[in-house]
Amino acid sequence: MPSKNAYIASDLGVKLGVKWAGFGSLIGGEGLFKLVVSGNGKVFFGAYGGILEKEINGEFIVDSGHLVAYEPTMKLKPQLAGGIFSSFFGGEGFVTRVEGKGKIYIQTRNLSGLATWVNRHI
Amino acid sequence: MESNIIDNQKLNVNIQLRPGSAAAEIKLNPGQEFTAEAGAMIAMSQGIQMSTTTYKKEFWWNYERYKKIAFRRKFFLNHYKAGQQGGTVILGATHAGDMFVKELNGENLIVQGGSYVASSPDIEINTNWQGFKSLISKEGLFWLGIKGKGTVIVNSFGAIYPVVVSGEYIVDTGHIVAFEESLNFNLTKAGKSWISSILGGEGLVCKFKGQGTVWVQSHNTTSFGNILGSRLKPRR
Repeated sequence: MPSKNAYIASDLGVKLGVKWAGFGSLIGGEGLFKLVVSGNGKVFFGAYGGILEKEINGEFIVDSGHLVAYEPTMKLKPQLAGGIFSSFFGGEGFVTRVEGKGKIYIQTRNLSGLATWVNRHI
Repeated sequence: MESNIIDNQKLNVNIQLRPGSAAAEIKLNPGQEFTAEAGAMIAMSQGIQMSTTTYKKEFWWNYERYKKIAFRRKFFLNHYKAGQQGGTVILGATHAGDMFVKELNGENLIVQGGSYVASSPDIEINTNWQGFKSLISKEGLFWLGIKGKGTVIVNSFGAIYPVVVSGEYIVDTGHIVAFEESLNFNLTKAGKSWISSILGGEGLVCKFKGQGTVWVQSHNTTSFGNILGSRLKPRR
């Protein structure tokens, strides 16, 4: 399941669908619906920065703006990065707890980080 | 026991996706800690505790020689501590660029505020390093004095390259990522006169003298911000 803006192209054998992502996804800034790609063939997807592939077995915490794609069997839960003070002043805000077994893809840069930085220079 | 102590002074860092999208993957032993720039965390394994400390940064801007304005900015650092199983933390940066890892053995390193990524717990971070007083306000840059024993991770905007100075070397202040404090440094104008320096766009440069290393970045965040920022239109 790549995030909305990550999908680029796919083979004809790949089906695209939309899935209800749950309100948890809204808090993570990802919107209420998820794109699901399934079937046989290649999928191209991109991100801002580089993409790291991570094999997860159990739980892993990803900053909400950095999650690019994950396997549909995995569950996402938004949570605070630390305590209330740390989460808001420590700059991490909300994070997504990914639970399950499979691969996730994370991007090494973040557009909202760039936007925050640019805003300071206007 | 002793080997454990040594292990905890050093961080096990693997820089991935160099040079354009570098991210630092830090593998932690059980109970191991480190400190990182606020907002740098991309991902981490379960069971790592995070806490935040606030540093009050004060810097003074001299104008008309005798009037001073104090700026106070808050500077946040996050501390991470691994649980019983140890774990992994992946750290990123705001801009496209590279990272490098430096092992310190008691020497001092001066790092541009925006370039600091993370360091091991025995590294001291001085947020009020005032070596370049006049520079701080003008270019919007601030500097961190870093010393101690352990690992420091630094990021750059664009490519990063070390320059081993022996004698004299001049670097545009916006391109300095870090330098060893063993070097003598002073700020100066780029050209022969102040007018040509300012109109020529180089502004302030830093003249390094002596022996030591300067890490230089190919891009300049201040220039990038000024070019991009001035071209953006206000929303109605």
